[in-house]
Amino acid sequence: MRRLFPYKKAILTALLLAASVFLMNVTGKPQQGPSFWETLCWKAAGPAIGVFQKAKEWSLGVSVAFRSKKALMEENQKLKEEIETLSSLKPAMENLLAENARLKELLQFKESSPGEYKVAKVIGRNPTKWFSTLVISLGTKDGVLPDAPVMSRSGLVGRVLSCDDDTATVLLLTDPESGVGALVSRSREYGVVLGGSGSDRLVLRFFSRDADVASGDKIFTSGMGKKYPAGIYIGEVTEVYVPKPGLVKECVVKPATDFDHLEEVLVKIR
Amino acid sequence: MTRREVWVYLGCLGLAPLAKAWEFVYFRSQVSPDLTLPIACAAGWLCDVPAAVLAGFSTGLIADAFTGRLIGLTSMTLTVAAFISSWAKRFISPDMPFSRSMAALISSGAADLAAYWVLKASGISIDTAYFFKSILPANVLWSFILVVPFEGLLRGISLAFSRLWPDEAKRKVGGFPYEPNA
Repeated sequence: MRRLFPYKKAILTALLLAASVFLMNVTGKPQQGPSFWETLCWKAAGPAIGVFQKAKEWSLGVSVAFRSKKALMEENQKLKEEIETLSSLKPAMENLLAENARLKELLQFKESSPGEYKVAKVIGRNPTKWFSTLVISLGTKDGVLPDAPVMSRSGLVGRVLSCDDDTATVLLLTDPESGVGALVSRSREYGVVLGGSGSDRLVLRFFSRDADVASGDKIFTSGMGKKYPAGIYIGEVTEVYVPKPGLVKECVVKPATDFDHLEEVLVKIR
Repeated sequence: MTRREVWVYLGCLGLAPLAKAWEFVYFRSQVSPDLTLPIACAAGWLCDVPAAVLAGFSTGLIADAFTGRLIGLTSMTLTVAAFISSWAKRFISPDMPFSRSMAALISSGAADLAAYWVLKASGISIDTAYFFKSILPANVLWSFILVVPFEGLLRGISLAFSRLWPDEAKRKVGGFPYEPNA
């Protein structure tokens, strides 16, 4: 057997690499919903995710309660008992107040944007360093459809990539496969906003070398391509350049949304 | 594949979904540790090449199934990482300080470069500066650090399995079946 396969290790490695490339070719096309294997994996990992989420909530609660208690004890030693009661309520109240403020902002945003929107909680971030996707708490049952635009209180987040009954995967603007038709509000120059440069940096590629753009310009969706409605704020230009080699002007856009700390988002359902 | 390598392989299959579930819940930033990379590096360090690449490939497939996009990318990355980590044993003495971490650093760096090249070739453009300034340093650093606990975990798992199902042949001659690979 060894004579037949003198390079067994190399052959096995090459076969596995070839299998990986084959899988990439087969699964490279975008799908409307999660695959069977994806669903199976998430279902199998469900209990572990539940335990980790409970542990996270518990540790957050403990840390917040500890900090609040310490601060209040220093300030009001005489009212210790009352403060202890308050301190146990305070973290929960602070959390509710913060949530209230965020939701109010989202509501204001919703009122200023045409169409029907629903608020969704961000459940988690897909565990990969190459792509940028989030999982949110709304699915087809709630009226969410693939390609629906997703927004935060500050601006555009991305669009729904795929959805099942209860959850949806959101393709963030920062994903290397994301592209959004955009325009400069001051000069009405059109371009495409591309991801793949990290969570605090987008690249706006124009269609000409002479595009009128400067640092500080505000960038909005153009409505071209029909996936995103026009007029949603994307971010602000921080740097303008012509890449080498390159034919068209590009600029760096600082996104309005903080993609690393998203907790709630708005999803357009109609 | 020796019995010990089978236990390491099963350990990888068990740890991969847990690692992905942990990342899903706790890591919200794009540049967060990829926990499956040090698992593959640790498997490479513990096993011979055939078992290591199988462990890397399977761990990667699980990770890919969680991601749901471009299935095969992580399996390819982790196959490369496990292969290099296993191969590096020829050149890095296990007695050397930080030997595992050095192997993990080299293998995870090479694996990420391979993934970056494959993504570029398939038209998915990751900004070069972002890759070299953020993704690559973070990954090699985390692999350097995390390979040691993951190797300990895999060793512990294989030891526990071996206690439950001891290798008859090795038990007869009185050998300890859990020694590191020669």
